[in-house]
Amino acid sequence: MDDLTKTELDQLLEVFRDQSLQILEDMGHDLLTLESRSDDPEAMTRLRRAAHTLKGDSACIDLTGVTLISHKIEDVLDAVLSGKIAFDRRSVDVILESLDVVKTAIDGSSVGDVQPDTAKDMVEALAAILNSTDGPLTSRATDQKAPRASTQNSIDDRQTVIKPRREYVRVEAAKVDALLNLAGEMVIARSVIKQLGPEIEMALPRNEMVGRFDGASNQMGKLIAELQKSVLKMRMVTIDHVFRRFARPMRELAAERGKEVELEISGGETELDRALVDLLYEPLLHLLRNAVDHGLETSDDRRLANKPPVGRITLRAYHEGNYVVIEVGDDGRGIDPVAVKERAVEVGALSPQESAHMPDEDAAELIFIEGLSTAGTITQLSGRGIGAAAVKSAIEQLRGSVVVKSEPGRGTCFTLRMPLTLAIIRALLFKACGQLFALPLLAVTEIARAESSDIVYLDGIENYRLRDRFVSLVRPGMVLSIDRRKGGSGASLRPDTGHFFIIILATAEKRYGVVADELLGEQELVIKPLDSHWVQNDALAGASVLGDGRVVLIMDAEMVFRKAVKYERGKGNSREAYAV
Amino acid sequence: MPSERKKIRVLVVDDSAVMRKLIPKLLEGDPEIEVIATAIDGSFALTKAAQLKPDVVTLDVDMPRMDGLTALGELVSKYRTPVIMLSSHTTRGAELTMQALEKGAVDFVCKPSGTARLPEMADELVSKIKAAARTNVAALGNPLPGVARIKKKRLIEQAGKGAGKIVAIGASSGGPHALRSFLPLIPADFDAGIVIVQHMPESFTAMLAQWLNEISYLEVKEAEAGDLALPGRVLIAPGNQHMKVRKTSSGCRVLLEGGAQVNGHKPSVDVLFRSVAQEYGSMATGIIMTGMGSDGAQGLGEIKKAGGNAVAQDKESCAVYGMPRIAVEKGHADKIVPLADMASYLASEVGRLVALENTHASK
Repeated sequence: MDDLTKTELDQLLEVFRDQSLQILEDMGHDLLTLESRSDDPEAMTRLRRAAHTLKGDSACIDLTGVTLISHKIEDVLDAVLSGKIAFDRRSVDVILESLDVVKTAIDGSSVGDVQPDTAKDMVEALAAILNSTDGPLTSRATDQKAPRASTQNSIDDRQTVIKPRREYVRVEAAKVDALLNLAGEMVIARSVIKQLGPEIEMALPRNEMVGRFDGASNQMGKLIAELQKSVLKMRMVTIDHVFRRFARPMRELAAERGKEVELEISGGETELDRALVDLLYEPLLHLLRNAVDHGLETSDDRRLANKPPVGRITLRAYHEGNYVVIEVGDDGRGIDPVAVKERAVEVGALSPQESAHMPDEDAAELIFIEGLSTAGTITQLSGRGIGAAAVKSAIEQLRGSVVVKSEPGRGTCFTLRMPLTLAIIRALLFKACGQLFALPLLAVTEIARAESSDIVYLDGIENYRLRDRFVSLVRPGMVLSIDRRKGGSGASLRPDTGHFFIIILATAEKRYGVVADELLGEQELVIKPLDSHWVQNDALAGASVLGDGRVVLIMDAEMVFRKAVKYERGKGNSREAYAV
Repeated sequence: MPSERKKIRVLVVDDSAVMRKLIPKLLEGDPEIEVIATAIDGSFALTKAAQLKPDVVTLDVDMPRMDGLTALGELVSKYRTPVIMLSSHTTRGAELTMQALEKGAVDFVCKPSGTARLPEMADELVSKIKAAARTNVAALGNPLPGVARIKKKRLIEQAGKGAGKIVAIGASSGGPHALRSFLPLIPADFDAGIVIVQHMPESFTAMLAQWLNEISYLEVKEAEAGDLALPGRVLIAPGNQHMKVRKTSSGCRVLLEGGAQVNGHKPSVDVLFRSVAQEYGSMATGIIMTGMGSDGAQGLGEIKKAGGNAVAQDKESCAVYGMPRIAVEKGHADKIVPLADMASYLASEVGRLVALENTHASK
């Protein structure tokens, strides 16, 4: 064979990077496991294998720095296994640092090696662990046999115990997404077939083929739905992927704040959409940080309050119907309802009367009010604060919700609920000012058929009388700046019909109506991100392509209304662009 | 016509994605070899072996779920598939490799260290795969009855003893198995020292010696500088050093040298054979055994020229008929001996030399 070509080497490097990033992450996790429970032979076996793989792979593609470091890590692990040294905080820190060095090197724009100097420093730091004999030796003196025995076990385990595990195939995420798109297209194609049914029946009255056609069409519909569900499941990953990333920052933060914290994780096996996993990391980290920073008291304070000195933070995930629920709880001081209410009144989010009437248990929810939480005083008093509003809006972007419950002195718990998947929504399709739109069916409460004479102006805003109350109206074309002059759709563009539809939406904030020219029915849509032209517009959640190639803009039910309100305010109630 | 011949279908097993990408790449240049699949652990390897019936499997040792040795056992016993181990270049790697050879792996290749070594590794892997494809797996790795855990005679390092004759052996690919099949058949009172060059990396040679020692009547050890080549003792040249013999007043001692590779190898068979020819002349026996390349052919010629006994292993019993072929083609070999007859041949040959010695002595 000849030498590897540049392309071949690049391919290898890419494979190496993808695999090694995963390995490094797993190693970090196993290290922390071993730090807290040193007798976990499986974690140890995994760790050693990981270091070994890293060493072997990096050697064969000339990443010498990585090879040196991983080799030294292997030595340290062997020394731990043979009982020569023990995992203490310091050694774990050094290994973690060396893993970071490797990660930084290979995770750049191109896969690179660790600089020779850095590698040398790292190897020396690791060697220093090997040579340190203080702490661990004493423990060994008391129980000389124990470490050896565990060594034996771990080796035996590896060779004889083969646990039945689920089998996996690694597939590029884009391939699964392509499959999902195809399944989505099939749904649409099949809806075309379904629509043909009545037409065929008209064309061929009393023909037994019509029944068979319908039967087959229905069967196909069921199968496609199953297919879609299965593909969606493929995109699912366990939430453990996010959870395990917290152990380290939490450990660091607790040390920094001088608090003793125990992070208890459960439900790591809960599955959710791959796309959600990454988006959840930041908000959850935020909540966890706040719990350490503000929620938990110092050990001394806890003792005074008759609590165990070690603060407990729980991270729990589970499924509830089509939702995944994540709870972030702490057993800290809780949110002080009086202080929060005072602050809410101060910033004008609450009137003094409202404040007086508000039950204490609802007060915690006030921390989500934007602007309230940034105040330094409230942060101190409530033990909560910075960014709760940011967390809420991030979760709402995922079409989820956040609820907080707090008991002063006992702790706080945030409950996040999100749909299992972001990729598919059931949507109502409609047309306005010539463009196809969709709204999540979940938000739609009813649809009314209206004429222009049904519209009244209240405070200069279009309203529609729905039974005994008025709902504000939003015109998609206007909000999305498609047709400023005409203000979008409605009867004005279709004087011949005079009729149009009002889609009534109920969101967390308000009930309102969206004006539509034509309804096209409901359909499952695969949400795709928007290209740059639309990115600026946060009233849109995404877009989807129908079977016939037409593009549907998917509106974000929540954001559309806010946007409309802003728009109204912005133009100071002048209605020339709004004329009906 | 290689293109018309059926290709050797290879299954590559490794838990590292890098290796699963690299190894097929190394093999793709060869027209007779086709990588039909890869597997990420022992358990998948068994499933795929059952489905695809590969001709040869390359097997990593350290893998999650089911490691290489466990999978090897089943590949050999159930599917009779020739297996080549991919070993790491460490003491532990060497240890596991020996265990694998004992369990019936045909051969092993060290994982590469550096891209510069890749072409070399590719050649090695290709020829070992080809040799493995022809191997009867059932015949490998079966423990030899009655020779395991032998109580050895204590060797007395007596000056000058046995310095009169020597047997030098050179082997490469397939060598460990060949040595394993005939060294245990040599009796404890064999009246000549044995020195061996087996192409192997450092730390592997020590393991090989230990492995052979456990099943032989003779004492087998990795040579250390200054060791005496005594009757009853087998010295194996350590990896990454050349070995020579030198007669001294206290007997025949081995010298170990660094320096450049010879014929692409260190230890080199030629280096050993030349020194044997020089020191022992007509009382030398040289045996060139299975292995690729040409190392040792020249040296065997020198043993022959010095009046010694030049032997080549026969083609049929060679895993890789390379080094013996060159020796035979160049006319450097006097005798061609099948592996199965090697022990008895040596016994009779040494007997002849003993008789010769005695006649000399009585004169």
